Amino acid sequence: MSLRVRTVVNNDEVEFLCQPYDSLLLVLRDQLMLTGTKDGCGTGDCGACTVLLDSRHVCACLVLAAETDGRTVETIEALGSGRELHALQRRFLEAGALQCGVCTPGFLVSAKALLLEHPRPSEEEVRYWLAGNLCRCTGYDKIVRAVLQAAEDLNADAEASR
Amino acid sequence: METFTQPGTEAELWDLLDQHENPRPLAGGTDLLVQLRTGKRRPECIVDIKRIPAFAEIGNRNGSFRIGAAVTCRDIVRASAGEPRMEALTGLCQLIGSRQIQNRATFGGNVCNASPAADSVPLLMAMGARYVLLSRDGARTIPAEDFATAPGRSVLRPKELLQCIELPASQAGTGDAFLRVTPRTEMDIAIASAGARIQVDKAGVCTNARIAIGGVAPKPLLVQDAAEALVGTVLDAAALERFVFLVRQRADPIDDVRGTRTYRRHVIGVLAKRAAETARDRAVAARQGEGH
Repeated sequence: MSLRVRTVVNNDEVEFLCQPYDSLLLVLRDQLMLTGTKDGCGTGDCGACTVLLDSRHVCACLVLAAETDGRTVETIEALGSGRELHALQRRFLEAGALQCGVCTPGFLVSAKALLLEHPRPSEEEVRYWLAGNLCRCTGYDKIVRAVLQAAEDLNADAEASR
Repeated sequence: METFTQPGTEAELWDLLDQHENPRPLAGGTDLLVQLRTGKRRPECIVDIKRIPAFAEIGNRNGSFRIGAAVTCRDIVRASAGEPRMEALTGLCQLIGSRQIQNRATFGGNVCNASPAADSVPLLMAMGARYVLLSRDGARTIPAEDFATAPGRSVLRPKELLQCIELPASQAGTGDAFLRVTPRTEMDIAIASAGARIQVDKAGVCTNARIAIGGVAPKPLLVQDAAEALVGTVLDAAALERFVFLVRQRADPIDDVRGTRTYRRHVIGVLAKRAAETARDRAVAARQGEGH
């Protein structure tokens, strides 16, 4: 029995049909063709499927698509503006904070959520905040540095536009 | 046939539960959805309780701090911000899983999932928590230590749900603490855990103690015979030694992939001791802060 769900995804009003037990991750990737969000483990352990649900970062594999009715979803595709990279994306590239790139969307969305809540995190805070995102390639250090640098960039921008 | 429903009122909820054979309530989904994917559970109907006000309560009412079954760890942290003596509880909320998990996971779900290693339960027990269980016929309240009966099992009746967790207002001069050991530093299931509440008088002597241990028995255990060994003492070495001995005696752990029976029995003594000491330190600080 299909359910009809109405939600806002990346600022677009979206309507889709799904099965009752379909995850948000499945619908994002297979129906809405937003394949930036990755399927790493399916059990909420790796964070590769991290998205924002009503501005809170969550694992899309642990949310039923039907639960998003009337809510807002933001994925990695909403980071940056298409032509211009977000400070986090720029710093990740410069720092070499990715290799295979599969964990990267999840890290970027988590980092975005972190910086919205804690614009000046310490290194320790960054590490704890990102504990829900696993990376098999980089060893994490460059990711942490990139996030700290992006935080400085964003704070400098905020200062400059005062 | 699989169904997903989102009742907006209690009346709708009871009707839905009556209409289906095997309905499963959904709060944060951080246990249920994993069970779905691994095939451990396949309910015929999932009932999302998050839009029903009765399960969303968070705050002080009628002399206790109430945590609705659908309230997330993150919301607990926010709501506890101004409350005194919530350090252990908010610390626990930020320890569970990851930030992503904390944005969805609920204490209600953790309690009802009834894992012997449930993270929230030892501290809730030490804090004297009571659970309000709700059904079409009304509500009943039971102490936290009487809820779980066996791994994954509880006293919940069919078509009965946990409505909220009640934490009685803590007394002056009390401190709480929770400690656990996990195989990895984050994102893991506890090998063993301990929750403690200690109350001290002006001289720093323990006047009351509640200690609960997790991961070392088919369900979390309140170990009051061990806790009694601390009352009337300043948690000196001899008192703690007796305490640790009694804690280890009550533990009845198993061997599994995360740890051996021998290790668990050893480490639960260490955890309980450290939790008691930390709770005592917080209690002493609370006494000083209260100007006694």
